[in-house]
Amino acid sequence: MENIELIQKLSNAFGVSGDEREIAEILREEIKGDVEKIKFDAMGNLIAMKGLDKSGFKVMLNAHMDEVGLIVTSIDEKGFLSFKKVGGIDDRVLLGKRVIVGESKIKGVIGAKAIHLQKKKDEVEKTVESDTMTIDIGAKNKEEAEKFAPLGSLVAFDTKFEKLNEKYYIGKAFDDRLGCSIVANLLKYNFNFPIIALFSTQEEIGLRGVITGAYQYTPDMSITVEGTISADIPEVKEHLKCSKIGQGPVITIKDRTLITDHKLREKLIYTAKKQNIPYQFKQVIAGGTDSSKIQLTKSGVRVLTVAVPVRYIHSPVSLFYQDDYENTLKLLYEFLNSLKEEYYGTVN
Amino acid sequence: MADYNLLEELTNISAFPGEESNVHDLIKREILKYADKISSLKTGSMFAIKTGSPGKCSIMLDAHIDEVGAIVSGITEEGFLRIQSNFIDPKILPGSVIVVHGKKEIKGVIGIKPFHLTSQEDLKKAFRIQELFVDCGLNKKEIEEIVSIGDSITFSPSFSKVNELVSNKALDDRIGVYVIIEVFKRLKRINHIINVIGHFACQEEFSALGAITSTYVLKPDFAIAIDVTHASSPNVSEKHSSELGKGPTVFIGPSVDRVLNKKIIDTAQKYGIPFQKEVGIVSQTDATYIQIVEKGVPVGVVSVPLRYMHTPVEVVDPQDVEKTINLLSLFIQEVDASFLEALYGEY
Amino acid sequence: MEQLIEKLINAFGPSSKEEAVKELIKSELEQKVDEIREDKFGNLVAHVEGSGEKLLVAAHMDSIGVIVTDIDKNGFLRIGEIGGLRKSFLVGQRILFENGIEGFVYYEDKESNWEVKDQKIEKFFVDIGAYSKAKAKELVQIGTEGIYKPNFYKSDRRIIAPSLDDRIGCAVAIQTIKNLKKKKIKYNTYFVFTVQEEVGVKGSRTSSYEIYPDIGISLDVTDAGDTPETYPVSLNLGEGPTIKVMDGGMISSKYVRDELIKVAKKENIPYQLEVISKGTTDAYAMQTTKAGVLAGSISISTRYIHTGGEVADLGDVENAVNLLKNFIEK
Repeated sequence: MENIELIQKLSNAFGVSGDEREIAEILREEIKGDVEKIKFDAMGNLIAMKGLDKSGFKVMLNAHMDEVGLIVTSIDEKGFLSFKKVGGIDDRVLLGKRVIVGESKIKGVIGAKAIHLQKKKDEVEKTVESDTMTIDIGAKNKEEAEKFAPLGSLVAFDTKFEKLNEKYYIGKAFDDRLGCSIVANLLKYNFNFPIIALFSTQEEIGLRGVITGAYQYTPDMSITVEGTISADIPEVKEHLKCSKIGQGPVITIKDRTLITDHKLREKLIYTAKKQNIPYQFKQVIAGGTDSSKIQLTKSGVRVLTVAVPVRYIHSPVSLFYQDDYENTLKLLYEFLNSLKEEYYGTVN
Repeated sequence: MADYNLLEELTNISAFPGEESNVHDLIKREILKYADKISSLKTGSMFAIKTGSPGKCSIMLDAHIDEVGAIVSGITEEGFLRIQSNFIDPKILPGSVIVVHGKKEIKGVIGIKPFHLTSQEDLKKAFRIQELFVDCGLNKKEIEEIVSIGDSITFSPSFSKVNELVSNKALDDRIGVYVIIEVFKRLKRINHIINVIGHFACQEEFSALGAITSTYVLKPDFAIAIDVTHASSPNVSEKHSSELGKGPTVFIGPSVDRVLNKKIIDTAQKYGIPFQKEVGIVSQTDATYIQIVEKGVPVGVVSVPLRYMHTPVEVVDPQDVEKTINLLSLFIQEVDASFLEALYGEY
Repeated sequence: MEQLIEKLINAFGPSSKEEAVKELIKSELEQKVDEIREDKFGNLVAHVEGSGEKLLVAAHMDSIGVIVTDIDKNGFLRIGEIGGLRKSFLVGQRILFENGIEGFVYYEDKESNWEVKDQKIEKFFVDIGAYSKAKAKELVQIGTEGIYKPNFYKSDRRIIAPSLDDRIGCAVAIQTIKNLKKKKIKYNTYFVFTVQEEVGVKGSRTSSYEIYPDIGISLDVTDAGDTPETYPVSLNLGEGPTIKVMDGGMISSKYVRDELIKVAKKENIPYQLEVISKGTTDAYAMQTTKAGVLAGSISISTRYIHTGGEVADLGDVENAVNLLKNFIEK
């Protein structure tokens, strides 16, 4: 697959909300030859621009650099770390997992009590809450632990990107490194209008970074590229699967934070049909995206959200299918290529 | 603590969100000699500026004036007041004395059915706000001459020294207001290259109206919010909170600026000021709102540990307050060109 | 005014699809304002010139509704919420979809013995009388929006209808414009009929940024506390429009609140002071625009908000028009 190295690099890199520097560096390296200007802002957003000499509508492409993770909140006398979750994570995916801790990238494990030692049915059948879990970094005592993992250290899942039979890939943070990779790729092309790429920060903790980035570099229309929920697994009812692996890019009509622009979405669907690109709709109203904040910048921006379907987002291991990624990239390329003034003129 | 009297005056005044102008005169009186400009904004916020030399950049120190309280939502046939509040735990209200701000200030009590008439089962039920009422000792006609729906209610003040500690209502966040005033007093004797804006915010407890609109007006280059944070007590473990007497807390987490935080902590370490780390995701202070105004403002949060937040008996350690004033004053002194360069880095 | 309200509640307009309401309002205001246009976000802006401070009066055109999220193999539709649907009142509703198709809302009743126990939106479905997926797809698509079927009934001075939130506010704005005496206008007034209020006060936010008024007033509905055994709120139908003190999102500007009270007292217009704990209006977005806007609200006390049968008093509506008109005029 074409961008596999970039996706691999992005997925393996450390970028929990609040410290997206490593991701920004990889992206900057990747796009520097393709754009005219690169900027950072007060929230750590990476903004890149090209086609500045072109007139007319400014189009923004947006993806977020941060991933969900944990943050060290206290250390006990024996050197075990307590933590809080950064972003929405189901407590039940945390037990017995490997993690990477802090700026020094120390390895650690979220320990789980051995089943032999669990008393009766009660304990075995009860969930463990994350505020009772601890991370073990092999420290002898509090002092040693503090040296390597000071309070406030961010913690990421320790998952290596790998291929899983034929066209399936597993790794962490496909939400939203896949989006970052797609936007970086789209920047290789030239379109008929100025393009602003906003690689945003702190999306997972409240859609925060995007606000300042979009304020300073306000577009006329914007597309947010995401890695979205695919729950097409056993035990989930048909109408609750949200999106399905293998059925192409996921187009959002409505999520918890916005309703996307009707006319632009129709144009996107028209492009998909014309170019024979499979597509699907996000069929559960869940989650929120940066596009909802871009939408409300100043006097308003017309927005779309398009995503690669990903299973098991916000957990240590997620999964995507090569064709879905490639079709998402292709759809966006064809859409941008065909955009004319009449489609992104005034509302009405 | 330098000035118990000032703190007592500050915390005794009532200022429900929207009524912050009650405190403006006092702040002006205290800070007048130490600021180059003072102004009130139509929103209810207020600010004071001390210019630095050369004064090319500015820091905004933010503390909020408003305190928690309730609003009169109805008047019964017998002259009792019904109340509404989004800020207070109703469980602390039974048995309190409160102040109603009508055409004039009047006192009232929030009483409940006597113990003798209450069943065992009911003794275990927590009161909800709609079940409580205020008794001002007046009948409907009398009370309607003074009080109307929409009037605000605040706790009755009772400033006291609890051994070495200090207790009153509204320490959240008059203690922050006090800190900023005292920092301004110190600035007279400090060389500082940046302008210092003291922002006394309105409506932090509700909609962050002051933080959002004042940042747009004042356009600071960076900001530190000075608020209070939970201190340990029985039922609030040290694992999840700070401790009284161990110095101010510095918020550490994704939503504050890394470079700014490092400078605050370096300053504390350089001058041997004890401090604590408060780790969180997004802080529950004005800083969170200041950070995302327009093109963004680097922010930090420094807080005074406080027990029993949002009750009439909030408690702080005066030593922590002194250390907070020291830390911020020295920080401002320490701000130099290389820090500013690091803060603005690439953008 | 009842004919105006009836026309408005019959127009189809869930959040993001307010076109029909927009067209209706445009036709009502033709020739009556100095300028009428649509802004970038889709809000309808009607400008009535005046020499004084800038005033923005907002009423939202959108109503709550449902959106089709799935069509199953037997032609049943699954739905998502547009705005804050009160799920306890969803089952048993007639839904009108944007293309005229109607349906009935029911739920997965295997466990429940004729009671709607578990009110999660994923357990509800709409029956549009289609017998297969293919047949259903001829009628609706994923993304098709629907509203509570309009049903206007007037009983003496009370109206029963869905979508009084906020077509009643739109009616107040329209009637005020019609009644205004141009020569007496004190404020440079922008009447903004906003879009997407129910999904995040969106139209108001972008419009407030663009127009950036000195003062803002929203026209909306608010709670009523005069039904049997209900949450104590001191607001009753027939006792006048409400002047907002505080709601779930904001505290009104004292200045705006006091000015409105002054006008009401001077003109002998009955009014009520509004203190509620949940819900907010377009004024919430106005208040934090740029350096701040002094914002308040005039509301109509309404029973059963966000159900298929909201109830309000015509006298309150007429008094609201009176209050607003006198506020704008000298």
